[in-house]
Amino acid sequence: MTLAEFTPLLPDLLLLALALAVLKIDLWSEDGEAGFHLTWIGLAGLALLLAFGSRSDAVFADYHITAASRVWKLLFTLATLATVFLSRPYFRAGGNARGTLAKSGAFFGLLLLCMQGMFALVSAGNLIVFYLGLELATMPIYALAAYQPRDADSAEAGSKYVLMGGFSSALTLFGISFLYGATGSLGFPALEAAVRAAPADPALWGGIFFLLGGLGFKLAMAPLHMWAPDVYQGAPTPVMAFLSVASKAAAVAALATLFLSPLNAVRPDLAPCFAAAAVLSMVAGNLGAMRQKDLRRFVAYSSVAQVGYMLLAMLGEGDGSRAALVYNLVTYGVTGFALYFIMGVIGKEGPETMSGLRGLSRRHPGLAVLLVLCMFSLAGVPPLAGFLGKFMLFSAAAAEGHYLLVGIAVANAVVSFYYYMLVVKEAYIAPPGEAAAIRLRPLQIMVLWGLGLALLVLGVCPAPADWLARAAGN
Amino acid sequence: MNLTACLLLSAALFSIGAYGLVTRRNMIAALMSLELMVNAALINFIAFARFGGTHAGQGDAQAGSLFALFAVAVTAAEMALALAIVVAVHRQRRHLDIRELDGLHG
Amino acid sequence: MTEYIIIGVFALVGILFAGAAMVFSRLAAPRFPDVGKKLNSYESGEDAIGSARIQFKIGYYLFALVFLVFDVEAVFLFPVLGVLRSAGSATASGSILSPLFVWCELLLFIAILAFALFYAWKKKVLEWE
Repeated sequence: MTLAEFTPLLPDLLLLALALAVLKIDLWSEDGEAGFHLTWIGLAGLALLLAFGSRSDAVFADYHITAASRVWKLLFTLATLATVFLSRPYFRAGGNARGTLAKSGAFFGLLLLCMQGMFALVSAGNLIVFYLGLELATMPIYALAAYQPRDADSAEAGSKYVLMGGFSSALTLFGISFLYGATGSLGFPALEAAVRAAPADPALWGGIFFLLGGLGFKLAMAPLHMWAPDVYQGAPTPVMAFLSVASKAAAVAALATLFLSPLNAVRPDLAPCFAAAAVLSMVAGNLGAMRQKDLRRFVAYSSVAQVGYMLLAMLGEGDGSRAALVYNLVTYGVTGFALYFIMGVIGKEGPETMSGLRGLSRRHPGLAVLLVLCMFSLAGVPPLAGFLGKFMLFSAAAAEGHYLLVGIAVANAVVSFYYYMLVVKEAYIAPPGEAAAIRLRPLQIMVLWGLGLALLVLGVCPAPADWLARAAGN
Repeated sequence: MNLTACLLLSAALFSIGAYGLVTRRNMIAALMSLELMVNAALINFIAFARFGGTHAGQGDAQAGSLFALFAVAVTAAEMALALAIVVAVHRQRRHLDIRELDGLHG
Repeated sequence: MTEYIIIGVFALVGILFAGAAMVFSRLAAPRFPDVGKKLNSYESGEDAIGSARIQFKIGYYLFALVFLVFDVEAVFLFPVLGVLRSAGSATASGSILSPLFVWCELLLFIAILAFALFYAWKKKVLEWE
């Protein structure tokens, strides 16, 4: 084995080095500036490396580097990068009305370690690596959810997440133990062969249901979503952003990694299960989101509904589904982060609630327009990114003949339009009294423009979708 | 001692853990219940590794034992983190009653 | 099926056995509800001072935490050493693990752990004031 053979592994190793370096810098730098710059430069470099670097696949025992895993990793990297930028004002004194976050070095270190877990998760060729990746991708978020100093809500969110997360990992572990018992092996190829050979083994099905329960919790799929609103609301906004995009993507990746490859043989039998969970998630998410006043809680319910749409892809056939999932996560990530940056902007002076949005059209017309674009995209209105994401998901399910489900999903999308418009309405209500104009920082302007353009480009230009479909489809 | 006995034991442990997690009001007791559930899974792994599972042919006995080892380490880390959060909750609220944790609502 | 029956019978006999013993001792034992003397310490036992529920210093907890992590991690070194001997032959997934590769992985693992210890040290977890 020569050194050159390790080049496909380079992003994973660099990420580890970056995480350790950020933690190390944190020991000496007083204000955390150096840690912030190292983190974002490192992540940007990593994204470039993943997008344009080595394209060769490699197998290191049970760690598989494939084109599909590279796409997932790129997605995680970009989501983390956006989270790092989003967290910038939250660490600055007076940057947020809820209070200033402290210890940015540890914060970024935990984010990077979390990402390392996600990397392992999508490269897993073995249930051990899969489980370790899943746990590493979850555990730092327990700490991050409780990160707001001297804040009872944040501590409560952390405790709820750690109990629910612990429960879900116990379920996952119990499920994996039965999979092991049913197949006698933990490697994915052997697992696949065993599942094909004896698809009706009761131990296998016991394992699958526990596993599905555990992953369902992580994914916040109804009826296992009740932790999400509390955790999203209590956690600091950057952590909520990471949870709703990166962590959600990791859970979807976990589901796709298992059920679109080694357990693919039993997936048709699971279709009713996925369909029921999809419908429940859409309905629970949409009904819940209608009543919310707090924006973080609103995001939680809206993301539960998004999970419902994404579960439709699990009904479709392998490659198309994977591409649809990835593309939808990209569009959801772009839209979500645009919304979270707006929340960050209004959170500087007031609470991050619906009424906090009031007068946005007066205070900064550009932001209000971006908010409208976001909400249209989340609802799936045609020329925007969210539409194409939903379209790909629905067509993946429709290709397999699930027309009724697609009908229900479209109906739900129409209903969701109502409450997304409620948010827009708030932004165009003029508050009584004088509204101070909002002044944005250069970083915020840059990111907001980037996300806004991406919202439009990803919706009208099919080239990125094609590229992702080819890359993720393997 | 055979596979069925081990599986019954682990199923009992898992159910006791799940019951405890739902009913116990103290957060530390809930974490202990969680530990029971994880231990049930560990017993499963070791039992399948020792007696072989329900599959045909030769299984990989080492893998199961190894997984149990990894799971122990992961759970230890998870519990350490959970206890740190328990400390944070106690500092804020001066109690650890799960049912009184109701500051977050829509 | 017979295994289940055996277990059922076993459980039943166990419950009956323990239950019978408890019921019998309850019926047969003389009862002297004299609390004062019964709670005295036996022979040369110490008298208890204060409550058993005392507050521990948070430092204990941090120490225990660091110890816990390293304690469990040590367990991983043994399987790796077990693999090290057989390294060089083909593994199940077809790739060949060279001993050097395994050795480097081990070093990386220990280096990460050492870094964690270093981090804890610099964060003053190991100081006892």
